[in-house]
Amino acid sequence: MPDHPDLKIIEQALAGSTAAFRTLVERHQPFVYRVAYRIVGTGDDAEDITQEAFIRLWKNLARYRSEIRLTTWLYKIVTNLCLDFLRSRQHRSMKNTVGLETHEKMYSDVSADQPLIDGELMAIMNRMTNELSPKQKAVFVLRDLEDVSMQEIAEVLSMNAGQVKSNLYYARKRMSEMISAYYQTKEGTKS
Amino acid sequence: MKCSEIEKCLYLYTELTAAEQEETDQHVKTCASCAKIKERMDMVRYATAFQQRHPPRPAHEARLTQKIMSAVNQLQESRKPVHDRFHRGLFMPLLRYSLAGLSAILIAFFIGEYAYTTYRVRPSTQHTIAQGDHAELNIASFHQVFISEKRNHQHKTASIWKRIRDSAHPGTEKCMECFNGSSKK
Repeated sequence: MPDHPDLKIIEQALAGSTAAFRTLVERHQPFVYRVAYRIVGTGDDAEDITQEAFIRLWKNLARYRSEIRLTTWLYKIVTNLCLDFLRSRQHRSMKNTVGLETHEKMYSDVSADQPLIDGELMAIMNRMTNELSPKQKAVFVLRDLEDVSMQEIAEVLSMNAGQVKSNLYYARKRMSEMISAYYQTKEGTKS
Repeated sequence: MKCSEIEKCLYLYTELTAAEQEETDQHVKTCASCAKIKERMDMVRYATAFQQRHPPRPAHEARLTQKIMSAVNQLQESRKPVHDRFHRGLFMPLLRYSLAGLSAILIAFFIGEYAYTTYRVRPSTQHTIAQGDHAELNIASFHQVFISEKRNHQHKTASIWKRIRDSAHPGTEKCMECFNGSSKK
């Protein structure tokens, strides 16, 4: 089902209205940034990718087909940008030196009386997702954090259903193993 | 189902049909190793649910939007035809006044240059001015005027000397006629 409110705005933007495009940016920027952040892991890189995603959207707006949801198209743009970023040599060289931001900064809206275990778990989860392969990470973020359907993920990542399932299986398995190992280590240090 | 199959089902639990989920649940109740896997997956689900409730946001959302729009506006501007951009630029006050000033300076320079050239080339003799001779820029005409003036002057000098010489002797009228005739020319 196409996004009808987006369609009207897209038509205006295609006619050259940057104000209409601004509406699209304001509407979709939060989820584009969210996906970028969860995949690449740093705020600055996520902002750069978000900006690049909207520039690509603007450049290719004329190629938009109304039968595809704009969100699906944006997911495709942003995940492709993130995968390119993760695959780049620059990122690989920096991977060991630049980690994810601390959970205090990432989850600034978490109240102070929140149980420590939650914040701690979030930080460790972010570090763990960094250990997944780019494709596994993209599938895991889209399915488990963004609630995107398997069919849509297949479309976004240009994979078949079997490949999506396989990547999701390995991502979840790896994540659960890492969480388990983390808790075992933690229990060991306590005792 | 075997434990290896149940393990796969546990990791892909959300993608199973209701019947498959039921079968998996039944197995987990009776299998300790599979129950342990389920427990670990529950931890992952708990963590992802928390992450969903607290999404990351850019430090300055409005600034990011502005950054995106600036880039888009630049792109939009670069897509416009060159003459369109030039026309728009021409009406910018600074450029407009600069061009007007430059034009005024150029006009003043050409007028000055024209006046200076005219002053230098024009012959200084009253003869050419009196006759309305516009030979200022025509060098050949200028030479003609100059030579005739020189001849006239020689003729005048000779006539004066003749008058002086003839003052003591008659027959000076003829020479005066000659003199008057040449000066009228």
